[in-house]
Amino acid sequence: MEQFLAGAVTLVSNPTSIMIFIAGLFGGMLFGAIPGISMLTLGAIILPFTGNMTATDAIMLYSVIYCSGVFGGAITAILFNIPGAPENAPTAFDGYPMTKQGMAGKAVGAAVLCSSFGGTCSAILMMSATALIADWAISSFGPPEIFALVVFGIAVASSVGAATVWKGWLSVLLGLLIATVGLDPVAGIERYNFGFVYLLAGIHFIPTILGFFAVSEVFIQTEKSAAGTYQAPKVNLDFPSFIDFWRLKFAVLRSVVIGFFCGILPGIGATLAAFMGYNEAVRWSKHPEKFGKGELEGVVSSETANNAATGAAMIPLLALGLPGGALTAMMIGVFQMHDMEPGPLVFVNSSELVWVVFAAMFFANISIFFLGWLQTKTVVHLLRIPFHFLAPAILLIATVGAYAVRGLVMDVFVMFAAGIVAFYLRRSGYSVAGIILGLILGKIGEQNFAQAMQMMSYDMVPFVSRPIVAVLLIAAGLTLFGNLVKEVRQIKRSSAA
Amino acid sequence: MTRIRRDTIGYLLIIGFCILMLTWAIPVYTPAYPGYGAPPAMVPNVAVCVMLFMACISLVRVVLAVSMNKPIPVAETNFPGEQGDGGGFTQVGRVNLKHLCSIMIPCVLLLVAIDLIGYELASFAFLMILQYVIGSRKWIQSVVVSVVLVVVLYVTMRYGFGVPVPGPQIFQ
Repeated sequence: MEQFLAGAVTLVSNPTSIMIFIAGLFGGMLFGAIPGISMLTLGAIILPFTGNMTATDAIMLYSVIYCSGVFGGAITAILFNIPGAPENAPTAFDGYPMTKQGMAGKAVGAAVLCSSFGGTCSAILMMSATALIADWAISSFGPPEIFALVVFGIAVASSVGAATVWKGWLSVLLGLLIATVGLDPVAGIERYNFGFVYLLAGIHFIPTILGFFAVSEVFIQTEKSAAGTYQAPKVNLDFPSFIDFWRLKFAVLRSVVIGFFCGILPGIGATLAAFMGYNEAVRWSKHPEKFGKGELEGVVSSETANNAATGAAMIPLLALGLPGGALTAMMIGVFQMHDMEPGPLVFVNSSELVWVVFAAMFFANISIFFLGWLQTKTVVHLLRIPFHFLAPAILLIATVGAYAVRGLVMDVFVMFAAGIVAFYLRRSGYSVAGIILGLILGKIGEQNFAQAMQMMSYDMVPFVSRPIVAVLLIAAGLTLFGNLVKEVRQIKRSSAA
Repeated sequence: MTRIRRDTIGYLLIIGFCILMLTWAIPVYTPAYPGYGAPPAMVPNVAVCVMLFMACISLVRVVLAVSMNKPIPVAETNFPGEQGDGGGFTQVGRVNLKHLCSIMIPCVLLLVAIDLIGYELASFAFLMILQYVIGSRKWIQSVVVSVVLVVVLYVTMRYGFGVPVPGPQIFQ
C-alpha cells in the first residue's frame, strides 16, 4: 500500500507525467475506437519519441494506452456494429442488437462501467500478486493447455448467434478454414494462397471483421430501408441501474477471473479473454438463446474480461520479461531504449518505475469510468443522424479503416467480399460471430497444437493426460454434446406441437 | 422460396465447396509436411470433412422433413417479405437484387476509382451516389455531408494518425 501511494504521489506531483497520462488516455481511446487504427498503431507511432521521455513516463504511457485502447473500440461496436479491435468483437454481438432495440445508453453504460471495474480489479490483483501468479501460470499453462482452452472456447461459442446449433458449428468451421490461408504458423511455409502474393500473409482479420459486421449490417439495413421496414434506433441515454448490475454480479466476477487468467498467458491477451468471457456467460446463462439478440450480460461479460486482461498482461512482462502481446512487446522495446531489461530485477532496481506504472493503470481504469460516462451522454446522439447519411459514412469509414491496416486496396476488396458473403450467411441463419471466432482462435489453436505435439514427441497419450488439458477437453466434449441434445429436444418439441 | 429450399441450396453449396477443397485445393496447394509440428493439411482436412458430414446430414434431414411434410424449427430474424414462424416452410423474402446491386456497384466503383483518381474525388462521388441510392434527395445537404466527411477523414488519417490515403495514380 505504501509503495502504491508513493507511486501515485510521484505520478501526480509531476506535471509532465500528468500530461502524458492524459494524452495516453485520450489517444488510446481514440485509436482503439477506429477500426484498422488500433492502439498498436499509436504504440508504433510514438515508439521513437519515447527515447526523449524518462523510462517511467514512457512505460507509464504505454500501460495507459493499453487500458484505454482496449475500452475504446466498445463504443463503435455497440453503436454501429463496428468493433474498433478484435477484442471488442464479442461486445458487438449483443451491444448492437441492444442499440437497435433502443437501449444504446444502457449498453454503452454497461461497457463503460464494466471496462472500468474489470480493469481496476485487474490492476489491484496485479499489484498484489504479480510474481506469484506469473510463476504459477507460466509453469502450468503451456501450449497443450492453451490448445485445449481454444478447443473449449470454440465448442462453447459455436452456439452463439446462429439459427441452429448445426449452423453455428458450420460457421465456426468456415472460420477455421479461412484461418488456414497464408503461412503455416509452425513451419512458415505458404499454403492455400492460390498463387496470389496478397494471400501469402493470410486474410487479415480487421478487413474481415469490418466486412462481416459493418458492411453486411449496412446491406441488411439498406434492404430494410428499401422495403420500408427500417426502424431507426431510438436514442436512449439511460445508464444501467444498480439492480441490472447486481443481477449480473456473478457474470462480472467470472469475467474478471477469466480475463485476468487469459491476460497472464503469453500470446493470448485481451482478444481470447473477451471471447472466453462471452462464451462462459452463454454457457452459464439460464437463457443462452437470448445471446446475440441484445442480452446485457453479453456486453458486460466481454467488456469486463477484455479490460481485466490488461493488468494481467503486465505480470509476465514485468515479472519474467515475457510479452503477452504486441503492445507489451513494444514496451520491451521501450525498456531497452532506456538501457533496462524487464524481469524480476526490475522490482529490485526500478521499484519506483513499477509502482508508478501500477498506479497509472489503476487511475487509467478509474478515469475510463468518468470519460465513458461523458461519452454515454454525448456519443449516443450520433444515432440521431439519418440513415441515408449514416450508412454511406459507415461504409466510407470502414473502407478507410480496412485500407489503413496495411495500405492495400486488396484489403478493401476483401472487406466488401466478406460483407456480401456475410449478408447471405446472416440471412440464412449462419453466425458471423462464429466465423470470426473460428478465424481468430483457429490460428492460436493450430500453432499451440503443433508446439504441444513437438513437446510431447508426437504422442497423444501424455498430451491428453495432462490434468488441465483433460478437464478442458472433456468440458468441450460435454458442451458440444449438450448443445446437440438441446437441438434434438427442440426438434422433438416442435414436431409434437 | 421457403426456408427449406434456401437451406437446401445452402447445404448443396457447402457440399460442393467441400468436394472442391478435398479434390483440388487441399491436394494441390498444401505444402509437404516438413516433419515437425503438425501437418499443414491437418486443420483444413478436419474442418472440411466435418463440414461435409454435417452438410450431408442436414441435407438428409431436410429431404426427410419435406417427404414427411414436417416443419423444421428455426429461430431466424424475419427479413423483408418473411412473415411468422412456419418452421421450414416459412416463406422467406427474396433478396432484392436490384437494390442490393445499386449499393454494391458504388462499392465496386469506389475500389476501382480510389486507385485511379485518388481517395478525395472517389470518396466524394461514392458518398453522393450512395446517399442518392438510399433515398436522400436534398442535394445541398448531401454535398455538405460528403465534403465534410471526406475532409475530416482525410485530415484525421493523413495528419492525425500519419496513415497515407490512396493517391491518384492517374496523375502520376
